Amino acid sequence: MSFNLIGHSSFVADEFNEIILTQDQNKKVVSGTISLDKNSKYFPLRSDEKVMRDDVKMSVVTIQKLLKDSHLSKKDIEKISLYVANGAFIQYFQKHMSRVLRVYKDLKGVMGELNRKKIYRASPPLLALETLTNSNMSFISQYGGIKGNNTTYGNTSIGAYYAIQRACKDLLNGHENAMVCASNSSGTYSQIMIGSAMNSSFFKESSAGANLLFSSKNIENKIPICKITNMNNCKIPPNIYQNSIERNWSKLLDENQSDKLIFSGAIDDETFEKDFSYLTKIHSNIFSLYTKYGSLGASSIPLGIIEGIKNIQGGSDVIDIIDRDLYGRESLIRIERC
Amino acid sequence: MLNKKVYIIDYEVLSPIAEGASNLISSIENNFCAEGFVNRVDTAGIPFKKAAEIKYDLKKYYHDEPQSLKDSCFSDRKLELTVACYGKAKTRMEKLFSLFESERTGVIMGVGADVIPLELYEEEIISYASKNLDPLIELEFKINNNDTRLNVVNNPYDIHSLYLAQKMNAGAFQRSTLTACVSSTQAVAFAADAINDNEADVVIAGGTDSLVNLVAMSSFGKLGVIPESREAINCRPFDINRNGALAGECAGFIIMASEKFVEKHNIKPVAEFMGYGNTLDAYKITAPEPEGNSITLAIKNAVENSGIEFDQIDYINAHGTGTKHNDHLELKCIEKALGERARSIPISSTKDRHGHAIAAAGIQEVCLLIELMKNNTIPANLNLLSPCNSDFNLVRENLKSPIEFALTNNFSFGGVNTVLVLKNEMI
Repeated sequence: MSFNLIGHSSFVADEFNEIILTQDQNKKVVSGTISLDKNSKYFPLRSDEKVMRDDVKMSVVTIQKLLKDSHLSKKDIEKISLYVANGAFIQYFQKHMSRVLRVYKDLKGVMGELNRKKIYRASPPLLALETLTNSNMSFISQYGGIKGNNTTYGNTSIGAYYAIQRACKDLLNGHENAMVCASNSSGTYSQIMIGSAMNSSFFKESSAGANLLFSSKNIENKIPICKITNMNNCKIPPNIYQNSIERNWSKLLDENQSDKLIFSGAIDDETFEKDFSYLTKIHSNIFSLYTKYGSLGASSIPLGIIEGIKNIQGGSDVIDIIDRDLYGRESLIRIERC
Repeated sequence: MLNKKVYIIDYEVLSPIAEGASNLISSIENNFCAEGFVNRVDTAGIPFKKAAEIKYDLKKYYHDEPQSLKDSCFSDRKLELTVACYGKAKTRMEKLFSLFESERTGVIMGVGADVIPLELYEEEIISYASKNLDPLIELEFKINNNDTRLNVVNNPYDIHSLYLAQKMNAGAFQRSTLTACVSSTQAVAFAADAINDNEADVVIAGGTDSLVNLVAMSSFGKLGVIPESREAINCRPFDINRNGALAGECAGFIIMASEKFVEKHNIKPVAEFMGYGNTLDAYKITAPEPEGNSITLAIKNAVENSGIEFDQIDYINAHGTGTKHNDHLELKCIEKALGERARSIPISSTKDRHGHAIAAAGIQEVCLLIELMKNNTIPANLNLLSPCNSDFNLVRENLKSPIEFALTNNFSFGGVNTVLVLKNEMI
């Protein structure tokens, strides 16, 4: 069985800044940030916005547009399965902790009850909501009206692979529609997480998001955009102590070469060059969004699929999207013209 | 609905009420309540001083691990709990682990939100702040500086499933479900699906979380979820005077397997996973939908997908957080879903004993439920004095009664509702 993709929407970074992250540890990042579409009629309410990351705000906007364009009934929307893949759940943790840090800076004497009380008073009252790991999913549900089977995976790029796999399984098991929503938040929290794990001193990362709406049936008057015909991932548990990158993508690829290979996985230029060099030996037409955006984290795979759709609309028939997450877990998704 | 049988064949848990699954039942029968003043964190100056804290030594379970992992365990309580839970299970389950085929074994862990352990690094924070450097960024990059993919703080959430996968040779997948209070409940549900869909023969499903730290206790306290520590007992699920949850911590996992695996290796399962319901409120992030329609649907779906009748349910292990919002609505939804039968089914929450372990709540309660089934025990709502609704069978004293089929409910912030149905295979 193949899985029909009947709609998609996305948002990507449009401003890029080189930031020196640390003085002591010599870490730099080029960070891509997204513009918020505050004039959109789908923009969240002020009361919700204050506990949302930027990628969550834009997910809410783009999901509502996608659902409206899908022409699904309210009842059908309620039954949609929703699988979310997220990057870091905190965007700029200095923002949340700024008052606490000011207290630390001004502390006098030993840490006693009085100083603890000052820290407690300065601690952010909404932190539990601001850092809620399912906030993206819950706000999408709230604004989009989706009430079906669900989860949030995270927070490396393979989370989106698992979300798409799960959505396809729901279709196999009788659900009519399934939504995948993946988003990445390039803020200090994410930068520390990936910059430390990959021991990289200069890396690139962008905020971005993508939503994919799948259907098990052909909706009246609506031709599916493309279909997923193959999914595969490496089946070796990674070694969490190892810091080298092994490239085994060739083992995942089908003997019948696709028209184009879209790849992701690098967070820095050196790794990207090595990926590029490896892949040119096994495929004649390769492409990556890295050159424009750097790492797209949890949104890498869905944005790769949307890039593949552009190619299909331009005449290609078969596109492979491959990814490697922070721990070296490789995956492949093949999409084909319907 | 599952079209294949999925079994639970073993389990382990580190809980505030028991050091290991085998000690759970004596703790329940002795009505042990883990609520107490927090030792690990200095709570001077904050009004939230009590929690259900794991007070036994965890290090003894991971003393042979590499130093980089021990460093991470020092700063990340969730990881320490995961590693210790594996260590606790290792000797007893080693033979079982050796049966796993890498490509046919997966891991799904429900994991709680990351917390910056400010209390562990106050000297460094003050030092960086005095130099006008950004304390958190400088500090985290400095302490994370090692040659592995393992961070000391701020690890990607998959670190827990990856650690277990590496230990148990689980190559098929290593997933994290990140849905707050239903994280590990969903991990169990989706593990069953993975076996049902022939993605794996064996899935290790579990969760880990801890609210016992200054940042979590302060932020949940300020939201009104955790009450100020004014009384001897603060957590009273289903009581008319309930005023909040008890902060908890836990790590646990169950080993789920296909019928084929169980038969091939001649294993006697402890429980069969029958089905689940899993819905979204589509309401508000801060409060459940007042009519509880999605919670009701989750309960209904769980029972229907299990293929059992309402009158076969012998016990409901409720979410029962002890908060104003949850408990009343949960009873209302049980009644809406199960009708007349709802009033006679024994219902209890065990969170007054072991606290609310958020992302690990589901796995703690699944492990406990299996032990209850094994020992024909229905636990009382330990701190219940005046029931908020006397129409229900809210259990007041521990009962000796067989449990063949049972429900376990968990509902999360942001309106995610997951209900599981288990069948006792030890009868």
